[in-house]
Amino acid sequence: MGGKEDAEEFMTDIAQHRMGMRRRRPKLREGVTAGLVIRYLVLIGTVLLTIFPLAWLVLTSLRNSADIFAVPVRILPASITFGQYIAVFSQYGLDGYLWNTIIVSFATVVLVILLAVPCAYSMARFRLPGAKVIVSILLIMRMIPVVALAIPLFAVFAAIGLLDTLTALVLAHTASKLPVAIWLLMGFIQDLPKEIEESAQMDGASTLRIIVQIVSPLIAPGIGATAVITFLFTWNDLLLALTLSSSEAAQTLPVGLTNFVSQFGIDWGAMSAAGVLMVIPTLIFVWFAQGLLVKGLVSGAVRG
Amino acid sequence: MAFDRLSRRGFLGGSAAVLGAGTFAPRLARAETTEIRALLITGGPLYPKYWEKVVADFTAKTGIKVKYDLLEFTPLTTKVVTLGAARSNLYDVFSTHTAQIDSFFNYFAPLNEYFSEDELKDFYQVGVDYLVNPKTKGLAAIPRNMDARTQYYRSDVYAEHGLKAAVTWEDLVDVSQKLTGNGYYGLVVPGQGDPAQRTFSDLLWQAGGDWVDDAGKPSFNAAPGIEALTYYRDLIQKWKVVPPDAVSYQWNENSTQFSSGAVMDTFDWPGAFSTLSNPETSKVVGKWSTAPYVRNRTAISCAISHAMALNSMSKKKDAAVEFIKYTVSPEAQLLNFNDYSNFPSRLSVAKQVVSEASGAKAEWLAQLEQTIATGKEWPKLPGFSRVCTLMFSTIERALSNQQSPEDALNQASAEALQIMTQAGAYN
Amino acid sequence: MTAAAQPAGRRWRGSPLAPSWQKGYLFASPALIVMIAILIYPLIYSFVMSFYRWDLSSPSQYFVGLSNYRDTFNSLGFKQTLRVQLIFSAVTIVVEVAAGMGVAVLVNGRLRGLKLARTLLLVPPMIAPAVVGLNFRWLFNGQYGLVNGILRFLGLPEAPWLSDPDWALASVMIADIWQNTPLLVLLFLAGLQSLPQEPIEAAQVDGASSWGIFWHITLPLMRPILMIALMLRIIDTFRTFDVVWLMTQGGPGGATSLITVNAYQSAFQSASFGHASAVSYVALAMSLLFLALLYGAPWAARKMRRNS
Repeated sequence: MGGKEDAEEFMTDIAQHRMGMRRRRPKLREGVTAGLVIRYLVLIGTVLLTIFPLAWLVLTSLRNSADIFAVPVRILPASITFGQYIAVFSQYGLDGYLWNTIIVSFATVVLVILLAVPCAYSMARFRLPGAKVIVSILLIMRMIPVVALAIPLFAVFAAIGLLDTLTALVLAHTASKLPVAIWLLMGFIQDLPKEIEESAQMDGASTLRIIVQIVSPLIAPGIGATAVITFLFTWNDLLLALTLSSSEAAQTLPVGLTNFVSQFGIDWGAMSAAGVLMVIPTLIFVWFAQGLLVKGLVSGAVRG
Repeated sequence: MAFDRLSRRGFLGGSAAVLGAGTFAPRLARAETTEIRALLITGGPLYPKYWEKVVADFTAKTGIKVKYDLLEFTPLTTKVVTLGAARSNLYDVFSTHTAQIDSFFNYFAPLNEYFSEDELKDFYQVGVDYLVNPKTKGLAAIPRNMDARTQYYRSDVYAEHGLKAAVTWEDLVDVSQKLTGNGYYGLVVPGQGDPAQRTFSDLLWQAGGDWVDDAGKPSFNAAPGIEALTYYRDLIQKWKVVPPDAVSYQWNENSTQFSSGAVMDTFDWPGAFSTLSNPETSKVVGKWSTAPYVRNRTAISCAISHAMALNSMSKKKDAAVEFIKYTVSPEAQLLNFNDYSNFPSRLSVAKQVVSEASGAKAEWLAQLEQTIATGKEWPKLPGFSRVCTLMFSTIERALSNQQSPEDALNQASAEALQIMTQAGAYN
Repeated sequence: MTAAAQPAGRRWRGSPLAPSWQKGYLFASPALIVMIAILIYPLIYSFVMSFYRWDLSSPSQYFVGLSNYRDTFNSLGFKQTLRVQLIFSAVTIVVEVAAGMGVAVLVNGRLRGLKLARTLLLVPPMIAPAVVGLNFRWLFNGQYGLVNGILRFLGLPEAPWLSDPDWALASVMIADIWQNTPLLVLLFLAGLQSLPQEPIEAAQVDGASSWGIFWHITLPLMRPILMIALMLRIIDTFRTFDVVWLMTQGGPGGATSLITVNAYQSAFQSASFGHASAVSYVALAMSLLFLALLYGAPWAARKMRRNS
């Protein structure tokens, strides 16, 4: 691959042409260069750009309607009120959606981990015929737009009479999150040295035991990252929930969000409050699991 | 080839067996015959109370329980579309609307056997006619309340400026221009999706044109159509008498712009009468009046209806029909009018509310009746529902200046002809 | 990160004491069954259905061959969709990768607050696209939105963010860039931190400019990660739906109508599922095509270089 050769080429170039002829960058103060200032500006700028839309969402959720539609736009609320959050539960019945979303997300995570760990282990360690085909199919699954899945899935669940149930949502989400979970976990398992498993095998441990008692603890960060990613993608899904549910029995938060577009006015205040509520688990997970998340996403991505 | 006629039920049914449908426990025990499920429309935070009362009264009267779910207009249509595609019997009763009824001719059961000729006579003819399948003459749904538009304008502001409510298209531009400025606009119109098609449709008829000619071929790109779409576009782009992002407005923005006091004039549905009179939902209580829809060569605009339909796959048709009949009964329609100002679909009820009304309300009712008397709707020919979707983007493109009205309509007309031919409209 | 250097194929050796593959499939089967039943079967069904007329107006489905695909490519709406999708994908991918790399390079190192920044950067990619769509729709609201409010405050002309076709496309691109760039920043940061430091230090000692170091050393070393980033973004750009749907519903006049939006409208507004399925599979084909270009281009370039 070209990287290293090109780099070496370049180094010989500069060694030949530019020995010591670069002018030194001016220093503003001891240790502080213009470069450093620029880098801090970029850092701060990036952080501000990242959080400002969300900050605005939070600010909007803390105002009353009069303040929201004020012209000219007021940055800080005239008075902070939690009325929107109350309205979201009392008027729009968000607690139902919240509960459904929690159940579906947790159930999916549990199912996905239970199914994916053994599958990832056997695909990583056993010489399964057709394994490469399976992996390719897994990757292609990830590429298909959800809408191609939503309609036939609806028809299949309708035929079995499972429409508008949380069961249907859990099954649909489990199936659609499994490919990525298996792929991620395979990567983590392949990183483990085989000696520990081999010695356990020689001691007579069954495969199941190896998976549960030996491998799982070793890839705990991987399982953690997979669990968090699965949870978040299930929590955030709109299309599957929209298609497979039609009533409060099974509708989730993102579907609830669309319900704020009422026939006589988009209730931006309540919608912002609902949006903030939806985002809170995300923020919690990011805060506590950031190490896991970065490791999981990045190493999963790098395994290409 | 064996694929030529694939029965989806067979395909799926067989697959369900393979999937071991037995492993999924039956969702509910075989329900008693006295409970039905309904998917009903709602609008705004106040409407759910209506259904609470109607369902409670119905259950008290008949002992039949109704488990219902509420959805706003657009998500409701989407949901019924998916349910229809899967031929699901999850719901027995649906709220529906004249606008999309032709999508569901194969999914809703004909109601002809449940409503006698005499019973139907009590309903507005125009409401019933457009819910009939032109090929089979089956009545796909029964009207629950009539939808027609009137003008709602700020009489206080008009009086200040010595203006009268607009009567013709030219008046409308004139009056609106005088009232546009300082962050306020003289008028608001929607510009997206079904609301845009609805507005274009009204303007098309007012210009003297129509959607299809006598042979059923698309004629909306003839001169009146171009005139109508050009006028519509100019309101937004040339005279700028409506808020600039009107192109993205649907019904909700159309109504809130007026109820918040940002615009001085709008065309809205009967329900707006009570919304605008309620301090919870309106900032302009007591400051507005109604007037007829504007006119050009004709004064024709739409007369359509929200309706109730029966699922052809339902296993409890009798109970379902009883519920449907109750929702369109005089009592239910009276309640709908008194509390939510939705105009009844029964002539008898209409007569009653008109006789009981006085003052501004009586005026408004007279205007509505006049509109309904001459009102129309777009055709329910095979394939036309797909033409509607095509029209959404066609009209939006013209309104946002991506295409001239003439080009947009001509292109749409050609594609519409192809769609309807493919759907068998001309056999 | 050394694992990155090993191609995936080399890992399939089992341990010498590995039980039979039958046992392997036993452990894999629950997951495989669930995926086959709920994922693969409906996808195949939907693929087959893309060759049938399946809409509400016909009481049963019948085979129509390539008719749905032909209708799709002939329809004006789809031509516009293709154009919009290509512009959207090209601009967002280029901006996201370039900005991601730029920020990562500038921010790499011992800056104070970097750890906090990295946590904050995780937030946008994890937020529900639905919330992002609504959030930006509110920000870009013509009358009450913050963006126009700020422009007004600064005395600058307001922009028709969501009502003008070109501005609307820009707005959804901005929302997509906001949501996806942070992840690329993190990815590239991780990559930068695992680069061998000797070449860079040596170049610095020899007096190379920072731009020179970046262009000739860092970037080539980062090529594998760049490829991965591009691959991820290409796959995801053809699946974008929630954000655009909630911001503009594909409007005004189809100006922001991406392929998934087009498919959704076909299915749930036109009630024409055969067409919707056809459009979805066209999207898949386009992803595959771009990926082929992505991986094929360097290979072809290298071949050309060797032949010349």
